[in-house]
Amino acid sequence: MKLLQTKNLVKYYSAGWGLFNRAYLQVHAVDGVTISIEKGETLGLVGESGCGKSTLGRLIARLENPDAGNIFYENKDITNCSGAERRLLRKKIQIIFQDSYSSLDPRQTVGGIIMEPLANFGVGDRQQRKEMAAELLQKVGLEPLHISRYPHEFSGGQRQRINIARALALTPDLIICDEPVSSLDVSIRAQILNLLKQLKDEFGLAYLFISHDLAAVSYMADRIAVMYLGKIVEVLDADDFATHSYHPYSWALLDAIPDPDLHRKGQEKQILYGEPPSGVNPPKGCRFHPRCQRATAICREQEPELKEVEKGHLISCHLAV
Amino acid sequence: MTCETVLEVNNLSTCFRTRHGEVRAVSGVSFKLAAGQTLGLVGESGCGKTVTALSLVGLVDPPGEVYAGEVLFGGQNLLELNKKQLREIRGQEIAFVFQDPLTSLNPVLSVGTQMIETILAHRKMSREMARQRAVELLGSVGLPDPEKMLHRYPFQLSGGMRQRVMIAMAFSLQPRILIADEPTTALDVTVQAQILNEMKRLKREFGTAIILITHDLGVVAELADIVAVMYAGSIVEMGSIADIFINPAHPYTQALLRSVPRLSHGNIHLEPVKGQPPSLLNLPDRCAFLPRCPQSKPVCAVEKPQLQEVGSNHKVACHCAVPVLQEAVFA
Repeated sequence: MKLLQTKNLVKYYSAGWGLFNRAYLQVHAVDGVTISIEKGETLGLVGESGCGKSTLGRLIARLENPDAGNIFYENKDITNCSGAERRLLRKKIQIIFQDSYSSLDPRQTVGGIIMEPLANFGVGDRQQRKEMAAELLQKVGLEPLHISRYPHEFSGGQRQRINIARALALTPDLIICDEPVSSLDVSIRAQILNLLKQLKDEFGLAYLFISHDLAAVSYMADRIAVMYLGKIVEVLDADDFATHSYHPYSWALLDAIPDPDLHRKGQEKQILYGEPPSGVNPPKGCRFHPRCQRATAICREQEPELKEVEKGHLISCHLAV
Repeated sequence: MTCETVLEVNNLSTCFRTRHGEVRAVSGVSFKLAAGQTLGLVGESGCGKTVTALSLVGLVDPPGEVYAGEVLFGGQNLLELNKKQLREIRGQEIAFVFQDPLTSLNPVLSVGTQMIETILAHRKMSREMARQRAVELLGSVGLPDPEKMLHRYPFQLSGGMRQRVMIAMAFSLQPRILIADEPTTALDVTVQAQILNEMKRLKREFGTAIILITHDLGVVAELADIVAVMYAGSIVEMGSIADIFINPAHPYTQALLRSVPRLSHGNIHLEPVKGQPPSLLNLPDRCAFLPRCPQSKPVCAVEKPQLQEVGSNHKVACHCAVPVLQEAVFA
């Protein structure tokens, strides 16, 4: 069953007035995104910085309002839901941010931080909430006695564990993980990734796992969606990504990863030249064509649509057959 | 290796004297670097990678102090030089590229001014010639329209462009050694691939030796010839790329390799290194990796292991080390 679906989701941010032509500038952060997440599934979302990954995550978490398009949660349209309904959604959809420090209130104890969502929704009495918080701490690999400590007493990895505990407190169905391990050290990264995987199995969670690290995404995700300049350009099974991805941008991302596997080292790599273009004036036609080595005339003129080429494999490229 | 050695480091040790005691950030680091060679220095945060690099060129500020060892460069021991002599060498012979290009560039000077200043500080040439040289260099690191770039300010550039400017500046005096401290960590993967490519090309062109500091094993594999794995201020394993990635001998290196997700390994379960790295404050005289080591022996608790050869140019500091095959690591 589809847990969450978006249909042609659009979000533009204002970038002020142009210098000479007095035209109103807009950043096309998310520009017509249609994705779906099944119950208990991890959808990985990859792309360069500025491609709109985080905005999409924030839209789904309903921290931002879309300019157009719809979001469905369990087949119910939640795009324009009322404040009260949105409050109830918080119980179902939670979010974990990259910066584990600024997402924790420095003046609250860990217990207070984890108990706050519980208190908001009136779960149990004070004593019960405290017990639940202690249990959650254990679930994420911390000690129950940490409950009375403050965030600054913890390392980055531990703080991310606290964030995860808070997100879990209301037993949500979907957690949006926005670059949850990017700011962590290599060995801690593996710990957090494994923890997220284990909690997913234990609680039957679905994740939207946003990251620029393709290796981490393919480790976590069941399906991977590749985003470029506000649009999804390819969606496919994570297992097939390294071998069956078709979009030239997906290839470029794959080639850009420095891989410690030596047998791949000799292979010629395609390096993507140029800077990622800004979303203020997205190129006409296929948005990737200025950096695409295989671009043809049609790519410059006409925007490709996201089409299903085989079961579960969607591509937005004119050259795909 | 038949190339001449440009840098020889023997028993380099740096400590920070704090109120709580002595923090031994670097203890007894030794390595040799040949011309045109790239040494990758890897390890977790706080293992002493950066302090090692700073110690080489006398950039450790008090309360930090390099208390032992020697750094031989061109027949001189850098640790015995005075500030003025060191300044001559830094920039000219040994150049730096740091992780955060925005803080290493002067925000109120244009790119051109900064580059020309750097060149004129070390070379006798006219301003016009220095300007030409700057344009050439900016072009050679793949920046579009280098003439215009001279008039830009750092804040007008993207992270990747800033890092290119830093690399152009570092290469402006054709240094013999480039120390790159996490040069691509703050960048996007696609931009990282571009920058690594530039560095590879410049290394070939100028024959510069590079000390590459990073925690990303992929970046090391891409660029380095030899790899030194650091743990708690010491080198625990050193060898060629193939030694480290195919036959890692130290349990820490093995654990590190197992903890990184790789595309080609699909969903193989990651095994994080258990526990936390030790505090460098009053480090006990035993194997620093002992509390996290899966294969310790009684001797590990008594004696700190020294680097020993286990293969040609492959050294390991471990009492239990036997070279293993990569298949065994991922079994």
